[in-house]
Amino acid sequence: MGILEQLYQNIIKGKAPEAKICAQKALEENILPQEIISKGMNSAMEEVGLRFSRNEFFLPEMMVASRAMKAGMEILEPYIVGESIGHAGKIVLGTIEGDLHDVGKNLVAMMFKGAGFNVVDLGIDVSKEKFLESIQKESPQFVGISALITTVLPNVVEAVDYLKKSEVVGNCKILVGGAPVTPEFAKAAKADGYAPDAGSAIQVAKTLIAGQVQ
Amino acid sequence: MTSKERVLTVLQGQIPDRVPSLTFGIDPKFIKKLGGGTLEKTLEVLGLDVYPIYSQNWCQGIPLSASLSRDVPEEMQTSGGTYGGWDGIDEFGRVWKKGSYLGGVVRTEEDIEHYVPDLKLEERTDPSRTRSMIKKNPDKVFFLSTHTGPFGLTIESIGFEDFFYLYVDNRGFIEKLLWERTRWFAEIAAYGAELGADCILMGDDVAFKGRTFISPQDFEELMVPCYRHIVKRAGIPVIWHSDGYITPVLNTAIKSGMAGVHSLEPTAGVDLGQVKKDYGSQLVLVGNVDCGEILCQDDLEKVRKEVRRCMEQAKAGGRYILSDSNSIHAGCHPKAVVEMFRHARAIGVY
Repeated sequence: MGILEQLYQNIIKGKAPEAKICAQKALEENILPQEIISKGMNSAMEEVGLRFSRNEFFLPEMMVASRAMKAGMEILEPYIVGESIGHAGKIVLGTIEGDLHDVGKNLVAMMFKGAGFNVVDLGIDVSKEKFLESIQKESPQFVGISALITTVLPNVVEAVDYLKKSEVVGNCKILVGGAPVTPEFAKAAKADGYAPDAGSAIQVAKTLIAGQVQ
Repeated sequence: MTSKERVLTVLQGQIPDRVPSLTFGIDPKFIKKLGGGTLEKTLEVLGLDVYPIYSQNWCQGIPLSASLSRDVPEEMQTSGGTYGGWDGIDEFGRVWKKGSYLGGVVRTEEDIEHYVPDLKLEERTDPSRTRSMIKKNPDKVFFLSTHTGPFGLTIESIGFEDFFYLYVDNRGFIEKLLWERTRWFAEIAAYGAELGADCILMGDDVAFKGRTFISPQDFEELMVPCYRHIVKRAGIPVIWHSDGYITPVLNTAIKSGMAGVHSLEPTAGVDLGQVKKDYGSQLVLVGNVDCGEILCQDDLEKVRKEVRRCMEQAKAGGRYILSDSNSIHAGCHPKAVVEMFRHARAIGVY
């Protein structure tokens, strides 16, 4: 088994120390960091996301895989130049104003990082103005708005409306998700995308990117 | 039938005169609006069959959970959410800010000792008030309602991310904390029964939208012994409340000897009709009226349609108690809540 395949397997199995060693060995074998990331790491996290969506993986497996990915990245980061770490795109994430829950949002952040996105995490209790400010500053391809409690859903609608009306947002796509969020709600709120779980959020983002390219 | 006879008939697996109804928690706004500030009056206005006995918890001296406690001071009820404005670390090691849960602090064996609180049975349950309420309402059935089940509380007191890392890295630590929580809960449940509770409604969240936190196989292996201990020690029926998609772990409830399951969230993926078909002869099903959207608006025909759906899917053959799919939270519309229970009484007759 080649070193990238070993790295891939260790991430899927959530073995952080082994993933770190594999990342180091891959560098010693003169494999480019970008190749290590795309073939050994991002592909592993994509597989983790798929298994999570298929209910083959649950939160413990997903969390330790993400930790293994992070351990491997620590080895590679000094060798990565500029923006190449977020080559798949950029997403600004936050839990909507009035809501202090962040577990779901953190899972989504992990999955996007794993899939090679540059993630700007605004944290919890994020106002629509703060989302807009971040879009202005970061020029992301996506904004992800998370909500856990039903009572903040009107704030999500308001934020989507506010962002859509701003010229700054441009082609940036707005994704919504969280326990009380349904496809019907996302449609009514005029969001560009909705994902039922962290694993499928990546697929939704990729579909939207593919749509833009076409 | 009286409410008591009706609910006990359902718990015994027989068919009552009509489907009974209950709720797990009521936001203070409803208690104020519908019951003039008293819980008892609110229950009466809503026509509920089940009255709650609460087990009090504290966060730095402040009682927990507006909807699940007796005496939350008015100034703590301003968050508009289920919880009454907690700030700080509670007696289980959970961290709160403005009433919202932020994480947990339990990491070491010493933390386990520190954050498995004293039972303080009398302080928690206020026996004289509880006994007087039972005496005053002899026709009602009383459930000890508490959201301190062992699994959810173990996760929350460690914090979500660290719980799952420890679950993989140090299962022994998780099991130790889980058993401490289990024994603690079992004693609270047993005392509730001693006070006169007819049933325990044990809040223990183990799932979210579309899936359980851990695999159903792992969950069964881990939790059947814990839940069995609680059921045995309580000595009265135990109904398990969990948010989320719990269909894959309903066998755990059966193997543990639970009487029923509550909430059965439709928006999390629970198909009441299918659950009734697969588990309806072994478990009392409680809930499934969507409180995420349907109860948050005032189109009463939509509410009636939702109640009809639940009745059509679960009423036949008994073993069904109508309830919202979580609680009567601050976002619910008062008219929708009143109509849900009224319509359930109208069409729930056998």
